[in-house]
Amino acid sequence: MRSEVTTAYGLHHSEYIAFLHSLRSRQLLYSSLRSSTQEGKVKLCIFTNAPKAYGCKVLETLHIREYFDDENIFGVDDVMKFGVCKPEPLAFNKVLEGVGCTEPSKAVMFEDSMKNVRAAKAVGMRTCFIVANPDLHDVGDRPDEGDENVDVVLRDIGQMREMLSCLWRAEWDF
Amino acid sequence: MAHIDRFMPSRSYNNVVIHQFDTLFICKIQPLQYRLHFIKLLLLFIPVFHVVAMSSDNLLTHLVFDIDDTLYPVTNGFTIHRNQDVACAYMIEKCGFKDLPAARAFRNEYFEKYHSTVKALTVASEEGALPKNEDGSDRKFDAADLANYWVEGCKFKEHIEVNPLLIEAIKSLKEVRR
Repeated sequence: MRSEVTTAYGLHHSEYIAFLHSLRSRQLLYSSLRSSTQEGKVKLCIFTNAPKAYGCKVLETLHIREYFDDENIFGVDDVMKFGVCKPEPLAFNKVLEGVGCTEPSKAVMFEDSMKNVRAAKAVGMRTCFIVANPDLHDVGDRPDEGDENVDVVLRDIGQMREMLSCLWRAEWDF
Repeated sequence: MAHIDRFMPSRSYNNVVIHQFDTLFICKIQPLQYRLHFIKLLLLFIPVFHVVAMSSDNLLTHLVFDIDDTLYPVTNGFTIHRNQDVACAYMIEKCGFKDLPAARAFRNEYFEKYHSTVKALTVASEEGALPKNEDGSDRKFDAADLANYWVEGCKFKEHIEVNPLLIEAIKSLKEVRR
C-alpha cells in the first residue's frame, strides 16, 4: 500500500512518512483543541431515577440528547451500584462526584419532585422546582412551592430563558 | 507596649504584611503617617475582597436536570402511561403479578418507600416479595430487562412534544463559560 501511494504520486518514501506524521500531529492538535473548548464551560448533566437507556430515549424524543455528554448522564442504574437512588443524599453526592463537581453550591438541580428538591438542598445544591400541575404528582410527593428548600419555581422548563437569565452568566441570583 | 516592641521587626523590615502587623500592635509608639497608611490600605482592599467573595459564591459550574416531568410537562400524560400501562404490564408479564390492580397496588406501596420503580422491584426481589416462579423458586428482577422494556414499550412520540424553547435554551447553555 505504502509503495503504491509513493509510486502513484511520485513521492519519496521519507516524504510520505513525514506526511503521515503531520496528519497524526494534526489529529492530536484538533482533539486537544476540541477538549480545551469544552473546558471552562458550564457542564450540562442529567440525573434521573429511571434507567439511563430509557432516559436517553426521552432526551432523543425531545431533540436534546446531543447536548449532554454521555459521561454526564446518570440513571438509576448508575447509582444503584452503591445501593442508593434519589432522594438519598448519597445518590446526589455520587453524581456530583461523577461529573467532577467539588462544590455542590455551584450546581443547580432542576426537579419536579419535592423529595428530591429537599435532598438536593441537603447536599448543598441550588434548587429549581418545576411545578406544572399540583394535582398530578407521584405517590407521597405533594408539591410545596413555599418549602424553604426551593430556591426558585418554574411552571415550565421552557421558562428558563425568561426567568433564569442568570444561568447564561453562569451565576445564581436566588 | 514596650515589651511587644522588642519582638517586632524594625520599621525598615522589607515584608509589608509584618510591617503592618507591627504598626497595628504598637501604634501608640508609631508615627501618625504609618497608621494612616495602614488604614488607607485596609479601606482599599475591603471592596476588592467583597467583590471576589460575592462573585465566587454565586458562580455556577454544573446544571443537573431530572428528566421525567421536569424536561416535559407532567400534563402530557406520559408518566401515567409509563407507570400505569408499561411498568404494570411489565410486572404482570415478567414479575408474575396476576392482574393490573395487583401490580398497581404493589408498585404504589413500594414506590412510596423507595421512590424508583427499579429500586422498588430490586428490593422486592431481594426480600422475596415478588410472586414466586411456577416451580416455587424466588423470582429475580433484572433492571436491564425493565430498561429495555420501557425503551421498546413506551409510546414516547405519542405523548412527548418537542419544545423549541427547551432546545434553544439547552443548546445555548452548552456554550456558557463559567
